[in-house]
Amino acid sequence: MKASYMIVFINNTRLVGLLFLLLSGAYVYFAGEIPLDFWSEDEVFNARSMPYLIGGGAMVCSLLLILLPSAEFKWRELQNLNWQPLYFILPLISLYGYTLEILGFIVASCLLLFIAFGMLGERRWLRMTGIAAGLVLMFWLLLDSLGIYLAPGALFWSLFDA
Amino acid sequence: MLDGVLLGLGTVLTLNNLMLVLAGCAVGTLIGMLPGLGPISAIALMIPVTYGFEPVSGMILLAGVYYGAIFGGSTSSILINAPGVAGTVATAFDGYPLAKQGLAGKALAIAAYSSFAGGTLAAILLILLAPYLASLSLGFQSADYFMLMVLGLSLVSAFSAQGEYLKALMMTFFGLMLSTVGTDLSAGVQRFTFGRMDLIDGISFLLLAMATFALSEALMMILKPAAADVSPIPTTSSLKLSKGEVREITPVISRSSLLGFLVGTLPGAGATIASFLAYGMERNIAIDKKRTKFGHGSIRGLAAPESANNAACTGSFVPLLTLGIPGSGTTAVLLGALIAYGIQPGPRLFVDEPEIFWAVIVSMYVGNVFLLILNLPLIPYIARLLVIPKPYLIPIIMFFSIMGVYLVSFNTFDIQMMLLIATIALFLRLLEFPLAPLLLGFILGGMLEDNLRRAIILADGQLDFLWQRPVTVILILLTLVVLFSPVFKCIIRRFHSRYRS
Repeated sequence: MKASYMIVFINNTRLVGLLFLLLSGAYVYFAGEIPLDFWSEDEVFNARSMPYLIGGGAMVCSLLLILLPSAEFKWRELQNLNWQPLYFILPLISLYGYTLEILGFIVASCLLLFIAFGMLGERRWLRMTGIAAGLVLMFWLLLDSLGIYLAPGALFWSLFDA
Repeated sequence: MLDGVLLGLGTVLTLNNLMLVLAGCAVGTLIGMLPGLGPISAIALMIPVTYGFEPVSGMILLAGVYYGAIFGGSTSSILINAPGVAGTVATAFDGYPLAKQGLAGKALAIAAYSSFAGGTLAAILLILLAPYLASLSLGFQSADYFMLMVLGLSLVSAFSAQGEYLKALMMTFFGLMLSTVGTDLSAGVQRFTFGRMDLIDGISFLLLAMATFALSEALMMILKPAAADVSPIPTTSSLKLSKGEVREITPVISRSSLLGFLVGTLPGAGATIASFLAYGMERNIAIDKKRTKFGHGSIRGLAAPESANNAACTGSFVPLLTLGIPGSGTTAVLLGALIAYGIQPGPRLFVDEPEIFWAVIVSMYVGNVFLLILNLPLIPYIARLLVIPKPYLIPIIMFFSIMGVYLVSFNTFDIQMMLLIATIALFLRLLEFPLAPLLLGFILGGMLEDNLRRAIILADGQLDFLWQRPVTVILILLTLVVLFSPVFKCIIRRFHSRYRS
């Protein structure tokens, strides 16, 4: 009986409320860790004051979010979403961030677009390559004409030096 | 005032700035037309482009993007029943049925004329009201500003959808939390940087705007592909309106524009509420015969939200230009852009930078003219953008939003940070947490702290500044009313049900 009551009580809003309560708690804790100099410690308003106010307000708000009744969320709707491509796209963007300075703007961006097109269901390889390369080169030329320099990447320099 | 208008005209009517208005309207229309991408994403995507411009030219371009995006959103509402922005949801109620009846051209023409009329009427009201309000608010002190910002943030939550008040308030606090990351400039100490050099300057507003709106929107398109893959209704029908139709929609446009402007000036209300209110108002006052047509292709039902949402967009510039407080997510991004240009927004903008103040106002009118002249005949061609396959469109949006952030800082840490925030934003969206209050809280956070600090220092560390001036007291009372409005609503509802029983 108690378990089923808990299942009814814990819904998405309350769960997020709980997460925000933890976040706010951590925020207030770290606000207390903000270094203050000797003179600031006795001031009415110092670098910790605003974070304390915000953190306190956020904790009250989170508690209200947990305690007050809220509409039940339709979890089934979430399950029906197209999650699979996202599992690959998110790491791909992260990888792009890591490889941008190694591979250089042109190579890394072409690869990002090409792989992302493929992940989202496109299979016409020639078209994918043309659009990815064309778009990146046009953008690079535009940036170049505006005087914005993008480094060719560590890989290019290592090959060039060799 | 006339001097100001002439100054604005002199600034906008140069070839360079006219081209920027044109470019802004065109880009805004293209981006706004894509389902899911609204004016916030459109402006966020364009901000990096404007960094090399003069502030006045940058603002003119971004203002053009704003109206263009709203106009573009209407097009996707009418042609594919997929509103590009929340502000054009009501447009789809009658716009899409009209298009399905083979009157897509007429529906687009009504939307264009209504938008133009709404925008123009609101621009005139703005010209009349803004200088007056700005000179009034020159007398505001730090304490008043602090309370005004608190009121603005509370209103944003109060105007959120039913049952989402606490969620919006929570998002506001989350935004305020993020605004404290970085170096506290008054004390010179680092806050919440955890020793990372990349966080010393704090989180950039552009990164946050791009991550929460542009990138997370692209990720959302991946999650919900079915809603996006719809082929548009061809716009081969005539764009002409009969005299009777013009006579029918003229009073609707006038009423809705006025309502839209007034709603737009309220912080937090914005185009969405304005369009729904105007639609509801017109349906309620229509005679029975006309009322039954609402939802089935009524031209009144299309003209009302269209004029109201454009008027509200212009109205939302009132708090931004006169008080320096954004009333919506979009104006929050514009405020961020102003700050990035090194301009201090607020009533002093009217005195110190009259060029920008008046140029933005005048550019709104010019932008509306451009949108009408250019977009109406070009709509059938622009609408082809709606058929770009999603496997190509989504990665391209992702690429440009990442580049928009990277090209400002040239720091790959920002890409990882953006990805993290976009993922969090995606989950918050799925759980129906609104993101505009987050952005508003983030942008106002720094100003809120500065004004509170100044007020406390001026009051020698006492809190009596809160009740020393009538303006501050009124603002506090208003804030309390807004904050406790859900409680009042609940009490009133219970009282009503008890009275009935």
